[in-house]
Amino acid sequence: MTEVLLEIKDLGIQFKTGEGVVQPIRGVNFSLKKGETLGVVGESGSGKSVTSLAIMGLLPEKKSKIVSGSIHFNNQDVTHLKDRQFRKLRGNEISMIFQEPMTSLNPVFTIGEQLSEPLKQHKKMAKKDRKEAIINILKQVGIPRAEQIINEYPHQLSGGMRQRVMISLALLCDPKLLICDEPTTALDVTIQAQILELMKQIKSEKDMSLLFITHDLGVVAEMCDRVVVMYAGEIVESAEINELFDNPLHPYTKGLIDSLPTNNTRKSRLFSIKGQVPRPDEIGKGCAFANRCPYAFDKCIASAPPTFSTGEHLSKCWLQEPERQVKIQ
Amino acid sequence: MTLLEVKNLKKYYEISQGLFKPKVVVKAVDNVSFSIKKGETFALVGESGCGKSTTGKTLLRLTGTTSGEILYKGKDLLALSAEKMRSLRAEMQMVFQDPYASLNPKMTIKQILMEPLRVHNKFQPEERLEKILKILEIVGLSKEHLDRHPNEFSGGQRQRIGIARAVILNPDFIVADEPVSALDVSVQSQVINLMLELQKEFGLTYLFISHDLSVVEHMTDRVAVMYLGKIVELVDTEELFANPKHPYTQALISAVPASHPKEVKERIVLKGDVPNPANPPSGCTFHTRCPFAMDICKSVVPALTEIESGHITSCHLYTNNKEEK
Amino acid sequence: METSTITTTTNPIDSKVQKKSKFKFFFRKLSKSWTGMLGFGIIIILIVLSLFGQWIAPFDPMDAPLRDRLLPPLTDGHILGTDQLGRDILSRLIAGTKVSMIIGLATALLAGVVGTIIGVTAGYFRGWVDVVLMRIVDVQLSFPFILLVLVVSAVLGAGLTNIIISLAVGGWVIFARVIRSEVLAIREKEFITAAIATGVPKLEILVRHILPNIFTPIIILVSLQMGTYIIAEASVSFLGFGVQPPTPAWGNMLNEGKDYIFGSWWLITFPGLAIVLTTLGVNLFGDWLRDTLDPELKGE
Repeated sequence: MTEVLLEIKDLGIQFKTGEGVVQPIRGVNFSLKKGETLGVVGESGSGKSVTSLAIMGLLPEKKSKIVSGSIHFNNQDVTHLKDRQFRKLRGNEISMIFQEPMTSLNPVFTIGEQLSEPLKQHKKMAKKDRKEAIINILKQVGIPRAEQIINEYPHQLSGGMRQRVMISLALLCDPKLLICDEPTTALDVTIQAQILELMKQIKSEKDMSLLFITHDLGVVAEMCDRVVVMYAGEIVESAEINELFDNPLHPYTKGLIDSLPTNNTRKSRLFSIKGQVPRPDEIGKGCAFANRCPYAFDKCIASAPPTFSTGEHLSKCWLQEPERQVKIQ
Repeated sequence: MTLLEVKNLKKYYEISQGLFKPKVVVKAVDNVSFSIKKGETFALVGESGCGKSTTGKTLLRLTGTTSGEILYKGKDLLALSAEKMRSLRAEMQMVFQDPYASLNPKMTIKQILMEPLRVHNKFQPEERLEKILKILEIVGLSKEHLDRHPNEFSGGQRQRIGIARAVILNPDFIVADEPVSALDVSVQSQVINLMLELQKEFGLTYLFISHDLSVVEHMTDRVAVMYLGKIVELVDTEELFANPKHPYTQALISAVPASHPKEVKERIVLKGDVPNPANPPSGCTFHTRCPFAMDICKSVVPALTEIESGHITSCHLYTNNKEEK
Repeated sequence: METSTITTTTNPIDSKVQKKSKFKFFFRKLSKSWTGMLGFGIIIILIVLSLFGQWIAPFDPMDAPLRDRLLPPLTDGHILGTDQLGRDILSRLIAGTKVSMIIGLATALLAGVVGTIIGVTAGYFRGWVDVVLMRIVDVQLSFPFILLVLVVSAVLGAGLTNIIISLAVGGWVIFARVIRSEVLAIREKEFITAAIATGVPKLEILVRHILPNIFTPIIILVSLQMGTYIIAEASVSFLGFGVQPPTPAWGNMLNEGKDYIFGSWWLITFPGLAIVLTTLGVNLFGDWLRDTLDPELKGE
């Protein structure tokens, strides 16, 4: 299956703030094939969450604007879709799981009531069938006592259980695309392992594409087929998962991998990228990573690099210019 | 040489259930004993709610204690008067998890760093600024930051300020409560390096509280693994990762995400959730999730025993029938 | 790749964050909200009127030429007409501005200081002090505010100082309650734990860490409560307990005008409007101040 489900071209998003206009997303390109799991890796401020909100049509209407590019979902242009039209997609064909399972569930409704909402919206079903479908899906995500759970409230469940409920909510309408925004960051390690296992299993059972947004390279290594690395509002590198870990082309990706404690000798200084992520208003005309990059040279400060490709492996770094092609190590 | 010794520390909370229901007792820290040697980094690991942060706070008397002893350089901290404890704080400091919440938003960096020197009356007032500048340089900030407020800094820079505040008094002992888990990945390693460097330079002893096992493996000397308020395993860091004994520790280590897609991990996925600490399971509190649970585990609380030299764990697998493992 | 050093490069932009003057910042924020502007405008006008009223007013507010009594607006230079004694209503309104502003501000400050001290004491020291103080607050809050003010001013007697004191006696509870809950919230913050861990003495934590962080809510509350006190003063004066005639105050102008409500509408309409506009202005400005300064809304 190589059919493209989601295609983002040259996406640019502006935000109005008290201080003026900033552009946290500056030309993002990627595509997601059917049945694929694509990881989006980045730190806070890289624009990974804003991108996912744009795909969901959930950007704050008054404060933000898509200023360039397009988002195509299932061959339909959804870039400037009206909210009413988006509602037909959301929860139905595109679903999303958020980081914080406590705040994403409404505390005053029972689990059953919340789960029946998307079915009421998108599917015509008898009340009895609906209940059956809900119990079914709760069992699928490994919730014990599903028949009782539907009458309970979110606060009666643990964090891991709530995230399972969120996953079942996202899966209810058999979406074609599931966006996971840091789905395990708020969870404990052993619970994270359970949830990742569950998501792998669901993925193998359902014909679904996954957009997996995270800052954790370890989670990416386990879950994804392909990865895009975001830095300061653009994609700096994109590659197949093994290729990215074995042969990172962008110094930022390389730095992230090298700074994992497991890749350093115990008790020694960790490799670290100096400095910090720039704010959107701090980015100059050159490469956004230049001020932290150990390889930066004149050209990097003078102008922003375009995307260079080595087969399927894309990177935005002057080192990859065809006549230069430096291999970093 | 032992710097700090904790004996049978207990911290129970009472939660009122309403007017006519009996109070529920939550055993946040339940009979915990360990000792920290001078100059080492001792780690407390575990999942949320296991009592590791509460333990850290009780050691500095930032929260009350139900019973037990905390001996710091031989003195029982719990017996000290409030004023004696206050002046002892110059030697025992803390670094907090959230660099956004732990700095007073209304103070400048200079005021934040001046405060410890002032309240403990260290140095002549005119020397204090010099000392502040020196410490700022050590943590990687500079003179021009002095008159700024915390909101003008990034998370990583704020954590550097928090660390500077903790080390400016030249303490012997620092409790670091998840000091890097709120930071961006690329900044985490900078802060870890800073902590390692400071330890070397000032001979610091750390109590490092964390849920991130890869960081714990990298920078600590000994580890105590906690589960529902109790220590279940305590051993040298290298030994713990090479040869974990307690089934919970094994699961915890195996749950750490791989660092390379090709890395094949034999994963022990625990069933179920961490039980409610207000209503912990009988016997071994881990038996509800343990893949090796036996009948005895449901009724008898396993004692902490030294099963190999320096390797302490509380599990029936090692007390009665070893062959089942 | 050689291992990099831990020293951070200072962000180039860090040095660019110049300290803009607080006034500039204030006005730039204000210019973005028309309600805030309106409120601020009204307050400025009120301040100017109360400071320079005696030179702005077209007539002497106390001068009562009886032959000019009950002139309708826009006759003989009396823009808003005259009252039953022939006094110029506009001039009396302007003179009344000063009374209202002094009472609003002084009461808010007095009630604010007393309420803050009590609220901080209750919130910071907790225990039985808190229980006792808050029960007193509860008891007082179960009394109608205006009734309490009337009782106290009946005991104290009329006069500007006494009306301020009686309004403050009625008003401190609001401050005490709000400030107490602010203190309760702040003392749970991690930077307070950090201060304790540093070894800062208890009283110093209160002065250096808690008080600066409740300053904003105090300012907001003062500005919002001012409107309440201005109305309350008018009500008390209307009932005859407050500022005594012939000193002009909006409340006693209403009182005196009520007998002429059918024949001469302007006697009560304009003082009434003055009260409405003033309260509106103070409240609009207070709302804007809250929206701007409140950290919860600020961090959008």
